[in-house]
Amino acid sequence: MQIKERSQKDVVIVDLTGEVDFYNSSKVRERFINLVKQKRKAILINLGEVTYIDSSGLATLIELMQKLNGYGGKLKLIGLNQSVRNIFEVSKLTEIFSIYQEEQEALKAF
Amino acid sequence: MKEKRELKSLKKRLDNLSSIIKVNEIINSTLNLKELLATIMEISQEVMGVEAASLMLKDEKTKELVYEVALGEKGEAIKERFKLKKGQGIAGWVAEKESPLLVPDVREDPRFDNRIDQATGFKTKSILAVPMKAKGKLIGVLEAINPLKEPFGAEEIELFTTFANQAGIAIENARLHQFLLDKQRVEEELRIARLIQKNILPKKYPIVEGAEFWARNIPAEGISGDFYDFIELSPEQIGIVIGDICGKGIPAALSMAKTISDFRLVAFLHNRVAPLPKKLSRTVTAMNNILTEGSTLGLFVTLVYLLLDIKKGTLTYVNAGHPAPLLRRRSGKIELLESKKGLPLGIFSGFSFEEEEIKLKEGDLLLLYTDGLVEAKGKEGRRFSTERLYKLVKEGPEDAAGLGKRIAQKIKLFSLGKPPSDDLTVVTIKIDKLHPHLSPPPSRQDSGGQVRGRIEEGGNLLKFQ
Repeated sequence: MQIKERSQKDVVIVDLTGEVDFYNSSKVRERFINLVKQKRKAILINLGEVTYIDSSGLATLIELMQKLNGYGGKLKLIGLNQSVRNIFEVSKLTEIFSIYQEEQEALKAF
Repeated sequence: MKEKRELKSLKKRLDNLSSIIKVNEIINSTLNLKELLATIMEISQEVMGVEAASLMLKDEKTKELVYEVALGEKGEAIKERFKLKKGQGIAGWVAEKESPLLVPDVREDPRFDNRIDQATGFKTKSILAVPMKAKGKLIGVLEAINPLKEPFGAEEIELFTTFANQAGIAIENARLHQFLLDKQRVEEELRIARLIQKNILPKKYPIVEGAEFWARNIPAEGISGDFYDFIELSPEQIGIVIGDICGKGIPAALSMAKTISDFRLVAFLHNRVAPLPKKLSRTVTAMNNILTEGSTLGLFVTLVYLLLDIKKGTLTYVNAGHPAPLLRRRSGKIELLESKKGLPLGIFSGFSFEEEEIKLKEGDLLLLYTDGLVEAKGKEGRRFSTERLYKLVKEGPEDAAGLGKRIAQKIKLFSLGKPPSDDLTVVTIKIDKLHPHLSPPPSRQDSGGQVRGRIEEGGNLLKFQ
């Protein structure tokens, strides 16, 4: 699992790669908490290279969303492949996250 | 004259050798790290014939040298205040170069850091510092300070280096011992937690005329975030809940214990006050609010709550983001019990859940499960998958225990006997007869004789280890 961060104007884009699970989700969380501390208002998570995400990984995304909601920030997700999308769909999380296919499209929507 | 000097030198070497042997015996006599470090300090002082000694260990995380045993009454303050970075001070230099350093007069060496002297009032004159290694890796630095008799020479460097290596190995052994003790303690605590958890899950199957129940829970890491429960709301109505706390290990297990007991209470309360068809949705809505309020770390819960009414022949349910239970009709046709708008619990409060109702037929077989089942890993990282599960349910035995056991066997084969990577729970229910003539409910005291059977322990069939 890898985490990389880049910026596009005011939006922080976090690129995640590999399997996000119980064993490494705390690293992802650390990064997210850091962004929350900086009160970043627009965060885009790119799951394009994520092959698998378990419920601990989902919890990390939910916690980030809850924290962002707390200070009026926005979270968007992009690049869910079919197997990751299935995991989101089963738990109906597609209903609560703003999910986009393309980065440009998501950036415009902030 | 020359001979005399050589003899003297030889005798000193011999003395040194016997000290090392003696020292080796002493420092290997304890596995208690704290005691060991104190002993190493004392022996350093004695063997080297110095006024004081100090011992620093490398912090693997920060790469700093930390005073583990410090001098005199201000010792604790020194430990906190003085951490040396790589290359900093005499000890830092020794750690970086991994070679001994003799400083006969600290006043003439710019590497000397006098902050400790200032803090303690101690007067450092001369230092011999040597690296401490274990398995070829630097673990710390030992210092002998202010020789009482003659100044340090080549023999002292050799002696102290040998001693530091012995000390390094002893420290590594003590650390390993401590690690094993800690591990044992954690394992024991996990074992107890597992016992407690097992007692939270139902121990007996419910008694419902016309229906047969079977259930099995296999935790991934000794303890589980999965749960299920049978809630006897009336002789003809039984509530069944299956759920999954996201995550694993202790946080999930603690959360599971709270969720299952809250759920039981909330379900009973709503059974008293809410009429069908609102009983379930109100229970789940209330649970969502409770869980969202106490939400930490984004922990959320997926669950399905079902109400089997054997007299009316209906199954009412609310699905909150949980994998859809499978209803296998007698014809072999499979229906999925989904809710269109069922979010997992613990994310947003104020969300209203809706319930669905389906008509049951005699011969229907119901399978509830948690995602650990379909996500179990097999050869080449392949997952068990819902497709495999559907096929199994379609073909499988037609009774609850038979199907449950067959799934358990298949999963064991699929995961090549390895323990599951996620908690895994299966509950099966067979509808044998609808609208039975109901006898009065058995009283709690004598229900023992009428129970269909006790729930088997965490899997005779599914025993992975």
